[in-house]
Amino acid sequence: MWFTTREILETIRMIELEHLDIRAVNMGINISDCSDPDIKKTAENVFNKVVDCAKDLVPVAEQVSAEYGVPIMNKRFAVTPVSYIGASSHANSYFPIADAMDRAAHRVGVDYAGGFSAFVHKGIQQNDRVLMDSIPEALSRTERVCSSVSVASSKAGINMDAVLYMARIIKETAEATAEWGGVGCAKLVVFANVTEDNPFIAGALHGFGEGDCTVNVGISGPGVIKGVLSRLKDADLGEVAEAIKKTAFKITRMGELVGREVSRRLGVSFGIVDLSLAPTPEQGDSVAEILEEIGLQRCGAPGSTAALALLTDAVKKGGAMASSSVGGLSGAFIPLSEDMGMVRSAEEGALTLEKLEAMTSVCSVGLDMITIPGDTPVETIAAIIADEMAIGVVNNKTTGVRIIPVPGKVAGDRVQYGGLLGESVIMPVSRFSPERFIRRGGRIPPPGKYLGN
Amino acid sequence: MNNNNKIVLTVMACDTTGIEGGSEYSMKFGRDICIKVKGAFRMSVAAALSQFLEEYGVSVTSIDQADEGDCFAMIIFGDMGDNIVSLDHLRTVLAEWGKQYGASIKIQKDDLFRYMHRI
Repeated sequence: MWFTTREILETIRMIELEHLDIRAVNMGINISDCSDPDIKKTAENVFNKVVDCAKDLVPVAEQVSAEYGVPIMNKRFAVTPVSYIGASSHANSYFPIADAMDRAAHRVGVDYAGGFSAFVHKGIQQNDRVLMDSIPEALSRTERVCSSVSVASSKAGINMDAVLYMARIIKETAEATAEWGGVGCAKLVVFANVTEDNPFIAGALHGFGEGDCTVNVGISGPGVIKGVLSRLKDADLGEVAEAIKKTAFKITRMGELVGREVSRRLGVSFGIVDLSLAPTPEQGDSVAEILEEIGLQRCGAPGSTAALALLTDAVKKGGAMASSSVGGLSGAFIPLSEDMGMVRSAEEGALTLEKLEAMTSVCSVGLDMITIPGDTPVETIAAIIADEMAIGVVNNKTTGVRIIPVPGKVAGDRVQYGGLLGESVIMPVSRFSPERFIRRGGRIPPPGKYLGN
Repeated sequence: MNNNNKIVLTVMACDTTGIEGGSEYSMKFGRDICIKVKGAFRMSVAAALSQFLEEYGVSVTSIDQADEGDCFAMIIFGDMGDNIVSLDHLRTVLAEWGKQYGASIKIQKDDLFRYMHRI
């Protein structure tokens, strides 16, 4: 027997009532052969390469989606980190490459384009500086380009000069997109231990160890997990973990099936399934509400970190059983603005920035889509980034910070972004200054346990 | 929901060679499909739909139904064989056909369910 009627109906319920979907099908594209001494020529090379590789991505993904009846929310591409592609041009801005990526994204019909990125976790090269300086213009003058910068790793420690540099870039990007609530910062993430096959925006890029062209898939499914737990009111936590694990298995299998089929039809290699539970602003599709279903009055209450640890671990175990191609971030996202349960908890005072930070120590991927007052000092933003990087570096895990100092807004205000970005409340930030710490600069060394070679 | 052991399988068309090793493998997706009729159930639907599908070259291999709260769900396993009708076209004509019975019809490749529910 292959499957039962009950299993078919369970699948239909997951998709139609509990928002099960493929969050993203992401094509990673190697553009390292696009470099040219002339930045305009580089940009045109990037445009042509991306369009050539990704021209069939959207129709094929939609075809597979229709045949299996599984929604695919986003189609995206990500390229080799642009700081390396622009280096040979000696240009003082890489905006032309961002513009080419944006035009290509429109041409092939994808939602986002990732890879306007640099790796500066140990030092900043001239081309990295050019890329970082180009970010505010790139994110304010393009619609779909996303950017990420690696400022820390467990091997290199935390480049505090880069942390402060990126805090300034975040402020400038917010100001450059002030008219839209600083939304440019929603397309910018700062990483520790960056992953090279992450299909999720804003951190998607095509790493140096990847092949020429690869399809990676990010799954979703908080609503499904919540639905399962809502039918387990009296179960103990072992049973809760077991139920989550079994559900994660099914979700992951669906993601792998879709990803492999899209890859096969496109004639490119299949990369990974990212197991991350990615919430959406849809009612019920919320990681916060999963924690509340486990038994917390509100997400952020004491016990939230433990409950999130249980959830993340069970998702990973179920996913690892389902696929031998697990990669990316693979955990649980706890963004503020994209998860209406999180927003409600923050508004009610149950969830603070500090509690969120604690929770990120047991899940991917860090402080995500956090909206803070627009007048937050650069040094404070840098210190928030540094704290999150420290969690990643010491625990040998990926952490990221996607933070938006919303111009003109103060704690308690609301800001609306729409679509998958949802709406958010402005979280208060500590009034105590880390300025002297941040201004020291330099590099925080890596933990001694990584001297293992 | 009805969870009995009478579910009949469609003819599977997947070549799963190599799955266990996790390496690249090719899927020879055939024309097996799984059609679900949801909504107010009418006895005539099964027979009428079977006949309708036959006209489009889909042979019905099994029919099952389940009580889904205030309505029934009927599940039909079919085999498109070497049919030249596309899945897209079949979906369109089934949507139109279903209106006369107040039914919404979802048509999916059946390997989705095998993948999700079996190792």
